[in-house]
Amino acid sequence: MYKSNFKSIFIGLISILFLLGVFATSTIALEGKAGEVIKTVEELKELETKGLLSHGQVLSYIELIKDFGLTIPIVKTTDRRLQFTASKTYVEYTEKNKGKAKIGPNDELLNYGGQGLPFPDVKPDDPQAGIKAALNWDLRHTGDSAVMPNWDYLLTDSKGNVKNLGGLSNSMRFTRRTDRDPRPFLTGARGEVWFKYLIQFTKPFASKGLGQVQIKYEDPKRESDLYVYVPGLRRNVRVGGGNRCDCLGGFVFNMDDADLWSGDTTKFKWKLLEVREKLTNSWHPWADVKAGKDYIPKAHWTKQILERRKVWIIEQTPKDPAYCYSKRIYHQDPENWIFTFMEMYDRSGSLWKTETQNHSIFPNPEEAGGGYLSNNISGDTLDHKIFEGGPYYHHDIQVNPNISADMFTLDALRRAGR
Amino acid sequence: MKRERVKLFFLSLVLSIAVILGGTAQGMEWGDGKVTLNGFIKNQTGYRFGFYDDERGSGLSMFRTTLQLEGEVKFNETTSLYVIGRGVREPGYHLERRAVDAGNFNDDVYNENTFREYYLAWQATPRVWLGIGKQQVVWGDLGGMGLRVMDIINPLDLRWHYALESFEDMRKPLNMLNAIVSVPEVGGNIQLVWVPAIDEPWERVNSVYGNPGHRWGVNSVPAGSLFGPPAFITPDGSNFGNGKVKGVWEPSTFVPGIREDDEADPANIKRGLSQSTIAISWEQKIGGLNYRLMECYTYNQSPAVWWDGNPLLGAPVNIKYFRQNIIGVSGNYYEGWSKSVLRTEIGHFHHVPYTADKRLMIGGWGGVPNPDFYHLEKKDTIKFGFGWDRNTFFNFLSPTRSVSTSFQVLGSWILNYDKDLITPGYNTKVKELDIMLTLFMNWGWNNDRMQINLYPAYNINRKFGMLTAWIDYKPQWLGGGNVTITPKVNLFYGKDPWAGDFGLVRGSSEGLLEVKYEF
Repeated sequence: MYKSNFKSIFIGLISILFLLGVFATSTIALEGKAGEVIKTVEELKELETKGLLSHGQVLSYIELIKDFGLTIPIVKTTDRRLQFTASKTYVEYTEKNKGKAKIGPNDELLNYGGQGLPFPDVKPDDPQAGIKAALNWDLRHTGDSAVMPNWDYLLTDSKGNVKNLGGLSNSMRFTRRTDRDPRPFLTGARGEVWFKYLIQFTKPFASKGLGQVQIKYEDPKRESDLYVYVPGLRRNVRVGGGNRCDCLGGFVFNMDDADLWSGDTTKFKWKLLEVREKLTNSWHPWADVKAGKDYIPKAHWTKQILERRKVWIIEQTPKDPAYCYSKRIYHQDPENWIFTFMEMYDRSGSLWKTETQNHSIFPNPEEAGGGYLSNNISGDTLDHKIFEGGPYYHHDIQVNPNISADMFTLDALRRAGR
Repeated sequence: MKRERVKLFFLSLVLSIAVILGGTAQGMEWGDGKVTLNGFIKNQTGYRFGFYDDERGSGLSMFRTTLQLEGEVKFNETTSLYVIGRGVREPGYHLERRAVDAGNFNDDVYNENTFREYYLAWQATPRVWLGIGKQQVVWGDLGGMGLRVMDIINPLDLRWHYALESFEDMRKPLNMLNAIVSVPEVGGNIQLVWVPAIDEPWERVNSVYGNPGHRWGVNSVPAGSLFGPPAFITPDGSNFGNGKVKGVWEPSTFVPGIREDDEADPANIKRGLSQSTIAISWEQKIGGLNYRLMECYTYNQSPAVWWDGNPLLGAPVNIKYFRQNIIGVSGNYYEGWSKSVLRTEIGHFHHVPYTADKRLMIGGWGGVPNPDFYHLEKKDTIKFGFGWDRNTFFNFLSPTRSVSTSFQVLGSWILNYDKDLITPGYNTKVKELDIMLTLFMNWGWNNDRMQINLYPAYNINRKFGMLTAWIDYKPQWLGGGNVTITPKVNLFYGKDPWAGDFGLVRGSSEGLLEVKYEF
């Protein structure tokens, strides 16, 4: 009697404990739905097993949760179609030129209408879906010009030491313009320069005065040019293609990694791996970024806000094996063709770095095409081998400003240095 | 005056320490970034190895501490003022002690307290930019330790570390008007540089110590040379040769008590507008080619030495800096198939002065004095350089980033060459065609926290060369990532101790440790 009572009590206790365990498990089993909040590493891994987070994302977010006790909210899926993320004129040109563009034998863009998205209707079953998606990124709407007068990059090491790099970035389209007159190209610019991109470092002192101008050309066979002003030499230096693999000023990312992808697209192979729903970076309120609320001091990442979206998973591999990465994996949003996440793999094929990009939506001035402009306002890079990286964020952005092409000449680059 | 300068130096040091202790290590900022103050503190400690049988001695060769402050004042969007000040404290090399004790120069001869650069940068119109004040202007597409072709505007100060520092630190800034007019329609710009000669005359030309008694003085003339004595023999003859290499003078070969002035004005260079340097260039980008055409009327950086007649007959020596026209072109081009950048600089230097005919007597010692002894010749000279840069992956050096390699050929070619051209004082032959090869390699680890650099250079005609190798280590955990630790070696080779830029200092090979904190 005594023995059977003890047995019953024991079984009952075990059952209660089991049920508690089940409920406990149930309470952390997220579905990746709006309103949920990721709070534990286990939840991250659970979402990875469900295919809603990539391994790179999990590795990156683990630190936020484990080391900084932060949480990652999942918000409502937003409508980020082109009409809500680009200027009216850009959308009009996209519609007008739809169906014209084709891919050439060397992955070059042919018969492009000259303005707008080249492949707005590309489908996943298109055998050229990968390169078309990549060219959509290249020609996505960024405005005809941008001035970011003040950005910071908080390079943080594994011990939490933070090094603050800062500078400014300006860009301008010379051809394929959609928003500001003259359209589609600046006078005298047809057939050569597509756009120019200027970066200047203002801090720390070791990098102060260092600047670069990247020039991309309309001709896909023509490699983009890169000029760097080196303060120690007091002159501009022309840099070859191989330098694009080298990290700038101690940054975790190199020139091709800037904005998630700034390289020569046709020098790489692009393959659509799959289309699936994933938790990906939602759009961040610009007010929070401007107020500095979007980054986390002493962490490698900005504040993460995720939403569930359909994502194209794109693999990029270099045609020339003499490259720093064996491949990159992108998460691309097919509503607007923006890359939101990137994984970089080293030459032996191991995951090396991850990079994310956060966007905000800005009202686009009527005189510059009206509508909207979605711009990269912050992001994160992390080197998983040396566990170093950092958030970057813009303090200010001028949307589609009316600026002069003179800002991007080589003598302007030289004059801006010391 | 000296006390004031010491006070200024220490005030600057205290200010720097305050900045550093300020914690941000980003320098100081006022007025929402309109005024910024940055800089660095650097210590260089060197040990001379005593190669070539202790030809130039051995031991502690350098203990130099530099404080450099760089300020910028942004008055508005178009106008800024830049100021760079440098303070240096460096005691003399131990073998200079005798010269110091004898009163030839002071122990603080290497100290500095200067405003190196101060200029107003003004974007006068969208197309016209002006730089007014003391500054550096750099032309050309080549680079390398101590080697220049069309980098001709600013002279060099080679006294404190020969040609082993960054050109930015070695150039002598000059007061000038620097105007750049942009012509973006054609992708070009015109630059006009006017140096009105208001600087001290000695600042207009290269400075180098010709006496090996100085740490970085070049090897002096061999015994018996017709140019050296009596200045290089002490009255009691005790410093005649070093007992190891025939005719090579010991360090510290100064005549005791004869005061040296290393900032004496060159005899024929005066202040004044008539002594101006004028330079103009046109730079343009056409397709994939960048080029610059240059013209400069300036002083030759080294003096000409000659006799009008024979010294045995009482003719005096002439030492003079000549002015010359220099026309040149530089360019760079990215070649896509080889993924390399090609660079070049070529300059035509009009009427470069040379010394010719080393024969004091014709027909031997029993003959007659040579009336053409050490006479002046002027020859047009082409100076040129070609560079080839490529980044290549070498997994065994670095699996994560490419190795930057830069190969250069630099040289000079004397037109209408005469076989009796010599280097005055050394009587070594000047070659018609002189070629130097250089190679620079750079790669890094851990996102360039550590960078390795190699730079060999070799003159194939005159058989001298150098190898400099250094590591830049910039750990994130030290000083917020703003400290760079650089162990370095500078090794010289010279078959002939009196020939060539590196042969003349062949005994000066050294190891260095540099520590630099930037704020």
